[in-house]
Amino acid sequence: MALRVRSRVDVATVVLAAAVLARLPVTVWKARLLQRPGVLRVPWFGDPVEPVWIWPAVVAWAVGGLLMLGTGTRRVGCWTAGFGILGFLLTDRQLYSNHLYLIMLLCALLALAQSEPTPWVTAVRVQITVMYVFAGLTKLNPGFLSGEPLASFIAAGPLPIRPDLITPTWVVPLAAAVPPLEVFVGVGLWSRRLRPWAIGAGIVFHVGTILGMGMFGELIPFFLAAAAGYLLFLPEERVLAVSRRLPLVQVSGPVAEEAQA
Amino acid sequence: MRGVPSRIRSAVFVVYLLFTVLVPLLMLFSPHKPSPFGWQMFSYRATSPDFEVVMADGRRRPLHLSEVALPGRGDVDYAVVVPPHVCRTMDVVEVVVVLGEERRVWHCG
Repeated sequence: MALRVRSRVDVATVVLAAAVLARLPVTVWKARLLQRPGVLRVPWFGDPVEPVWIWPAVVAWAVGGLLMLGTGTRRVGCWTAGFGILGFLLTDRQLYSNHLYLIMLLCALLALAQSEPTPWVTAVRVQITVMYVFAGLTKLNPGFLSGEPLASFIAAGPLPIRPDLITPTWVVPLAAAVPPLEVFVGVGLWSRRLRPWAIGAGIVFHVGTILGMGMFGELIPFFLAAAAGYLLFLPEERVLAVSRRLPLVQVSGPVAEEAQA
Repeated sequence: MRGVPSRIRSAVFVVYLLFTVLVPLLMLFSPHKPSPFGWQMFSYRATSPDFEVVMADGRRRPLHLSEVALPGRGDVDYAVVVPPHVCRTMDVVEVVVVLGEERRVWHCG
């Protein structure tokens, strides 16, 4: 069974579907935690929502993620997954995550981009840039730049580094490098000349956070969601040409026919 | 949105762009850090308060956040939301919130 794609929006949707589906195990785990008797509930507004309502949202999320893979069902899949994630997020404030919020927004934007690419592809690009730029700007605070948060994340991560080797000598410069790196990724994606460097820096950043911090169930889907955004900065022909070389991917439509001719 | 007039489509697009930029901008200047919707992930050290409960028979014991809440989030103010919840769901008379040197006592009932 091959994944059929006709445009870079299709390819981005398939990559985002991978993010949507890869995020599900953490979701189910948190949903089950919220069902525990006596567990704290923090509503966004008003009274707490009964946690049983979380399950229809999770089912919509999963079904939507699968539909995003299919030809002809991508738009409905994006909406279904997006509303599923929205329902999940609205159930309780403790379920919020910036990564999940990004995935939800990208689902909505790619749903719109299926039928009208021009403005909504731009909206995805702006969203990706805003996410990186604000992530970088927020880290320009004395706490983060002291290296302490980063040291605690690395200490709790999967890398076998002895705690006494996590020293300010390298953690402080690393912390100082993160905000400009994030801003560079967000801004550099818009420049044809800088784009390869920005994408390279983005990949290094995401792989570094995954290896350094662990949290695979959250950080891998985040990387996939960001990668879906990167694809929309690249020329359509390039994305489809690379996609044609991938196993299980079948490129069809005018661009593919043109390339074959 | 194909059936929608182009003026409305353009308006939706502009509103979305404003929302995308203005919300994190507001959160950047919010006094509560980290704030949701601000792309402030991993920007601050998560410092959940410590808790201690005083049982009805006068015994005291520490209460770990994971006993009552989902994995701690920096954008949830646990010092405010945990004490009333513990009073409602556990047989305790006092909840002590320890924030560094500061100790806030919450009397149940």
